[in-house]
Amino acid sequence: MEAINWSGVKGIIVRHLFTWRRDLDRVVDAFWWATVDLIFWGLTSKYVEQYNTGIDIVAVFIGGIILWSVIIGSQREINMPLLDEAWNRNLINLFTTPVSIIEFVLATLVLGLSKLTVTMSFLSLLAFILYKYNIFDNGFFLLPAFANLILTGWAVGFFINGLILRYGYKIQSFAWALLFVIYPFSAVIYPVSILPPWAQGIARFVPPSYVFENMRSVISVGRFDINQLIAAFILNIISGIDQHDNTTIDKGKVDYTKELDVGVEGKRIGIISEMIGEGVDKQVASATSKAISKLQSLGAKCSEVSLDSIKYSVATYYTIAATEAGSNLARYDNIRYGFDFDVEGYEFNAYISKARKNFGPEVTRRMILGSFVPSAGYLGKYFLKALKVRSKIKSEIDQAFKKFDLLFAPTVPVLPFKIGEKIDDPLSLYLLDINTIVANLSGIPAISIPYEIAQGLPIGMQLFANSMQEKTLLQAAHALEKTTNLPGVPI
Amino acid sequence: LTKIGLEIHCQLTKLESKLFCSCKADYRSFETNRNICPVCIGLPGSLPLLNKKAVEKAAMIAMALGCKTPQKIAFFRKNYFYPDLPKNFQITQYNAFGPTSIGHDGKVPIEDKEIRIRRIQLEEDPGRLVYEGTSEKTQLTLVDYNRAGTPLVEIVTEPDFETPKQVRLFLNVLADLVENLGVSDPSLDGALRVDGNISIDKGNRVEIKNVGSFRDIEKALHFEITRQQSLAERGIPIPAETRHWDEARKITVSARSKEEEQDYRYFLEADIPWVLIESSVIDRLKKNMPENISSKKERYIKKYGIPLQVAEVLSSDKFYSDLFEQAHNEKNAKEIANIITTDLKGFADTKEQREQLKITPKHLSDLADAIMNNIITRNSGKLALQEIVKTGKPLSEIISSLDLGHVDDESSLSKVVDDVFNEEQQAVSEAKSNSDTINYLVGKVMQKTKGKADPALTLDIIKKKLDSQ
Repeated sequence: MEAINWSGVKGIIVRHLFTWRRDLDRVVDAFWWATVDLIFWGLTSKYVEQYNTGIDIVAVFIGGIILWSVIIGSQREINMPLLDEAWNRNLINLFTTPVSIIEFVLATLVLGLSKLTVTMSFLSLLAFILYKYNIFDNGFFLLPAFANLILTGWAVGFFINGLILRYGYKIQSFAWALLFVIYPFSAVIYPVSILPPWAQGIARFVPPSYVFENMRSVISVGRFDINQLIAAFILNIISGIDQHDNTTIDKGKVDYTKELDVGVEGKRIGIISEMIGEGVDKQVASATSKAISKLQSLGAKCSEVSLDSIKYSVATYYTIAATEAGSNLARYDNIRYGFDFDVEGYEFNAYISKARKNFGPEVTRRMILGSFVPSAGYLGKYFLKALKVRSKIKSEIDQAFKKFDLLFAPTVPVLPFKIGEKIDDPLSLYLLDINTIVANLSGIPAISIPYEIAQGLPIGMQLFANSMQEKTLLQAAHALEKTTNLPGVPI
Repeated sequence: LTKIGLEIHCQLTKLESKLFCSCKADYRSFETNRNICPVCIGLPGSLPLLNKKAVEKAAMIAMALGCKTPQKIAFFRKNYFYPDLPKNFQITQYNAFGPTSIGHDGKVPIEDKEIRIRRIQLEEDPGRLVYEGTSEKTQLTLVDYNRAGTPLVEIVTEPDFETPKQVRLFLNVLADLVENLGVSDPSLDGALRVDGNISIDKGNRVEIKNVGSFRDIEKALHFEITRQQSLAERGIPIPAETRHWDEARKITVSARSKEEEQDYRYFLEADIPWVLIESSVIDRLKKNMPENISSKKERYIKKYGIPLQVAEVLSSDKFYSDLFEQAHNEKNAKEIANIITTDLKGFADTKEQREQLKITPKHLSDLADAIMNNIITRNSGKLALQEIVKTGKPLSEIISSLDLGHVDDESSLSKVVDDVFNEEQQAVSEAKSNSDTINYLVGKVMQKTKGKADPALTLDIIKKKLDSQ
């Protein structure tokens, strides 16, 4: 493909922005019809609402109208620039210039997206003012929905452009009419299920119908639990062999997004005794027992399990991690890359140590620890001992997974502290890691679920599974997350 | 009593790629800092990916040196700061926590001795510092990372050598061995590097480093023995130290930095999991191991009746033995061995010469057959070989173009003899009583026929003619 000349793209954008300011047609396109629809269907829904249908009818109608205008807007903005040139007898002139088709199309897409943004902002604001409808209540659902609608709009738009170029602008009315062919099958306001069977078949091939069906299910369920789905989706991508990483293995392809909602019925869950007793904040403890009883009510079999060596985990972890980190960070010597620092006049050791003075206090602390711990004379006392404890912890974990499918504990034993509060007390900072580093030391997967808000501070619960058992882990996390009463995640 | 131990670094030059990335192992053909990638210059976020072939080649060296290979091998980080070391640690192997390197406890027979191999470890070569002028007086030190990450096998011997000569013999054996295994080309600059350590009369151990070529190690050791002995004679204690070989002055000088005091803080490299050396891999390597030099030599002697000295030259040089193996058959083996070790050797002394040679195994077998079937004489064979290595033309073409065909019909040869008798009348009369002069006459006939005359037939005719006179 030829290279894209961005000044050509820019030129076309500028040319159409000039028209927008003066052309009444365009203003009407952007605001008038959608506003009329919104008010009309808004009032209708208010009227229907009086009959107490049991569903949030305003949300269904208004959400439907706003989302439908996404597809109309993106389709029409594909056609308008082309029609505009055609009406002005400018099409031939345009393509005698060095502007290529791809540049014209790119400009069209940019114009369309920016106009769509303006229209959507206006409509959302209007819906909020008139009907207290907040489109962002839909949460993460909006992202795939918008992508679906915009792509559908573009596809129809390009199809119409093709017709116009083939048959001339005598068939320009397609630009307004064609989309309404799929309107009834998109199930904008009513569900697909009320369509006659033959029409349901067609609806299955109309992409927007999925968007509107989903929107209604989000509205009726109240929240769309997407966190574990996102995690599962990302895990699908990152799991398996990485050609550039020796520490990865291939255990066959697993689709983590499938069977995500099988629940925890019959699962044996071990509650780690050492993580729920001494030193646990009262509110964290109560959230923990609440979570345990929820898991039990979902059919999980919970019982306590003791892991003796866990009390050494912080010391073990920081001994090993500091050693590895200290050596990993050795490459920052300012020789191959780094900040501007002239070598002139330095012997290399002096240069390297001066360049490395720029690390912050916590990094320096770990590097010093990491140099001391494996040094001659201390290696056996600290580093080798830490390796031994690590294998002991690992074998205790292995034992535990013979009896349990999952292990459970609060993520952090106490409520969050303020930013900077413990900055001068690294030891107590390190100790907060006690519940999480077990996973790092033993190489097992763990997941933390935001569980409760206490005094405005979040409390998280944590699940562990055996190596390569991420699927079970995500299923349990999904089940547990559904039992929380956290407000929806704002975007 | 002198005790010498060696540390030999051998680059696995026959590998495609570096030890932990896909950059070329053959870094020599590149412009400065052009054979590099994020892994071998240690950019943050890059991880080492172990070259399995390198493990196999190192295992082959270990086997050939009679070492044991553990079932699981591990890699360690050797931590020190130096500008040619991109990550500021070297990924290597380490046996202090138990044998986890690719080889340990081997032995190599040298003359009537056995040299014990302490360990063989697989590691990465650092980059190279390039000085403006000499390293002592430089104004500017530059780094070339092309070499960084090249697979390197370090071979550490026990201090079993007693003389520098044994060291030389061992190194020759080792160089031939790695070449014969097809893992390294010792003729490449820096492919085989040797450090030594030496102590006399249970004195302190002195390490000798920076010996550029492995041929210089013998000189360095000789110098060091003399130096230490003369110190001892004067009652001056010999300090334990590291000395550098000064190539220009051919002496060792004390290293200013106290390298031996460095604490390398070895610990396990967590980015490379333990590597299982499966017995199936060992079996496969064993099966595909090239025949070792001494059994090759035995075979040449026993099977083909090749003389000991010829067999020695032939088997220890992979270039010669490869040619031989491809060219020979049961009948002409001995003749080919002779051609290679006496005639071809003159054209194939250096690496450059060898690269220029146009000779193929077919040339050799044709040539041997032609000599054995009396188509050309051995003398003509030498001329033909000279032409073959230059032009690569088929032997038959060369024989006709240089007119090397054998003269073995009696009538034409007898005419030549007549000519010689006419020219050399005095010699002819002497020849009747002196057999040395007969040889002189044969030589003259050879000269006239440009070496094409059949020597036996010539002698026959001359004798007959002398008798009849």
